[in-house]
Amino acid sequence: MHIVKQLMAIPGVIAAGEYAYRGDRFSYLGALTDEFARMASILCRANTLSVNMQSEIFDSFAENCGCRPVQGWIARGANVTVCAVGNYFAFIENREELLNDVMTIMRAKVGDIGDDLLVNLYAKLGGDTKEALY
Amino acid sequence: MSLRKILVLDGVTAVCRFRDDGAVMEAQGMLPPDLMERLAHFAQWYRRMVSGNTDLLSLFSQMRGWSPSQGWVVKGASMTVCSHGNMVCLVDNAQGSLNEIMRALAETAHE
Amino acid sequence: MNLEKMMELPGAMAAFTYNDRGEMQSHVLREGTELTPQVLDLLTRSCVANLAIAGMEARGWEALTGQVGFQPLQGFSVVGLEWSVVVNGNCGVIVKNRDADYEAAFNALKTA
Repeated sequence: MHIVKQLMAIPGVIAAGEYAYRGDRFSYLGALTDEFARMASILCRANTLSVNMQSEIFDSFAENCGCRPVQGWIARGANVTVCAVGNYFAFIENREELLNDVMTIMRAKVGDIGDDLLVNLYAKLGGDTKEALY
Repeated sequence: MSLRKILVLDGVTAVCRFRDDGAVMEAQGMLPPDLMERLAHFAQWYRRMVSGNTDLLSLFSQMRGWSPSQGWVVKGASMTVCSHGNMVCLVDNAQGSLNEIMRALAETAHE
Repeated sequence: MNLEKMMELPGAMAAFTYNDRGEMQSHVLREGTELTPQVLDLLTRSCVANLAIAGMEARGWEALTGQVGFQPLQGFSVVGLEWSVVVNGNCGVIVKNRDADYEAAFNALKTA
């Protein structure tokens, strides 16, 4: 929870947390209900899977082009932005300079995301990579 | 049902069973090994992506019956690639019956 | 659409526009970059997909939770290993992660 606490200490961060690969185990702090946090986990998982698949496709056409492994993504809304690095996510207000600060902290604290998303996400949560996904 | 039983269906040019990490478990058909590996890898990522997006649809629509997703089909101009569970196959559109192939893939995936 | 203006963003390596089907319409590449028009054309297709999915998420989230603030969507960014792509509408820019100013990029795309 250390990274999440640090993120929550920044004014303008609405909520932050960790989502699991399957989207059914998660932890969070901030202005979300349990149900909303579960939804946020499912949303983060879907986006992370999408962008990772895309990076594999780019890589197969343009090897070592610098896109893989994907580190995260940002969805910019009208007043709120959702950003994710590895298996951490944050909901933040669209305040000046906040997005850059949050991204810098997330990239620095979470560290470089490895090539194997599955192993990476499970390792952080102490899970089992052999567990059946479906 | 073995992979060979799917391969003999009209239109099927390659079929493969893949692991959760995208590695090939079994494969049959007219694809060179490196392309078969790519197909398995692609199918696993596609499965994850479709699964993620189906979860979203299910979540936001609050409608039962979508999630967990079972498979996907991408129909191209003359080729189709389709998958059910951990099975994926390539089909020549001119010759194949998609219904029959999807049924066979589902049966094999659950073995 | 002023792509040259987009190239003035910190760390910009490429700027591009695409149509609603994801086909690249125009592009500018920084001299010496490894990126090619072929890679950009792949990228523009994924940009359309990501914006569409993010739009669905924004709509679904607001409808289900009653929380507002996501719509209208102002863009989507994928943070790769060495560079990030930031897109909105029919325009996008690729920036080096080391120099990335995400806010400036989103703001530039908003007015573009």
